[in-house]
Amino acid sequence: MKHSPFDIWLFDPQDLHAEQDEALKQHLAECDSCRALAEAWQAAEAGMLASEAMAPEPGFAHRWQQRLALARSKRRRRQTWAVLAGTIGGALVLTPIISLRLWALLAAPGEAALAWLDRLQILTLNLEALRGFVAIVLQSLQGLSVLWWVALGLGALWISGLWAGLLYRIAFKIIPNGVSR
Amino acid sequence: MPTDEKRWLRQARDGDELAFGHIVEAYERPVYNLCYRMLGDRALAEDAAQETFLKAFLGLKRYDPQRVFVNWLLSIASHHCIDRLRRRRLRLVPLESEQGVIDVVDTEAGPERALARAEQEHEIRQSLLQLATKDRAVVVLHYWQGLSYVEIAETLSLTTSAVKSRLHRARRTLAEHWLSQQEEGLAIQGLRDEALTF
Ligand SMILES: [Zn+2]
Repeated sequence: MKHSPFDIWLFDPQDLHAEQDEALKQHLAECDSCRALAEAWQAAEAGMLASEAMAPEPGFAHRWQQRLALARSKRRRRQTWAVLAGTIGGALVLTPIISLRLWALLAAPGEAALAWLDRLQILTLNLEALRGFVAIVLQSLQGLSVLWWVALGLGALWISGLWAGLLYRIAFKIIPNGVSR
Repeated sequence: MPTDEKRWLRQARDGDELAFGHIVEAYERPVYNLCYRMLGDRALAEDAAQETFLKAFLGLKRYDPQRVFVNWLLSIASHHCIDRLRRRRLRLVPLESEQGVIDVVDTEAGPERALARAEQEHEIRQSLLQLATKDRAVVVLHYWQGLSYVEIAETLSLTTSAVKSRLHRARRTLAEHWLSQQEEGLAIQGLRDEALTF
């Protein structure tokens, strides 16, 4: 016996047209396996429709508040560990560099002192160049009004604030309710 | 959306956890029920429902107010449960965790009725565990939450036709499981009768 499409229709009899419904009824009257399936489905569906939504144990919302507090403290602990790990990592990177420099100084104090003098000279030259640059900038700014100076000052202040805020966010990444995403 | 809910959501968005506590109270049952039907275990359901509300609170800025709020919650819960089942391959839970089903069934209707309902709940739980996880989510959202095909599709990130075909497949599996349970029951009854005649 051909069961298609009745073995599909029997799960959704409410969606059928009158003729389809009639054909399905006819098939179910003749076909034992489709009838058994249809009856099984009706019983299974009736069971689900009669079943109420399960409720959690009382105090669910209170337990949620506790869980939130726990999540926050975990987050804080993680942050502390991250800062600590960063510090230790930085120290581990810097230690060999400093040790090498120190070793060079102890092995040949004269050469090391000369190298440092060289560096000091370069630094002085750089500072000299920077002074010249600033002098040129100041010269060109002389013609500006007081209002311009205020605007420039505020701009500098804003950029500094933005920079500080960005550093803070990167370091602590705190969202309004104090919990990480 | 009720005005209270709107206010709580606005306050919760600003980080007010007490306001979100009202939201938790209002929707703990549908969220818990979905998790229970998905995972088949009360302790796992509690954990998943708690996690759902935590994720919702922390991700509240991503909630689109055009959507029905409870559907958004159910979406988080469904994905969480599906993910959990996938990770732990927890299609069937151990039998000892079945306890607690009877105590949630209303006992005011008399012990016999309560027992019958507990048995029915047990049957439903067993049947649902026969389904593939996404099919199970489709069934729960349709039969317990009364969501339309379109809403289920949105909740589970599926197409409407995928929802329909999953629902069809689930119905067939549920019917076949019910049928096999009946046959098993009849076979046991037959053995009992046979034993009694000797
Ligand atoms: Zn047939």
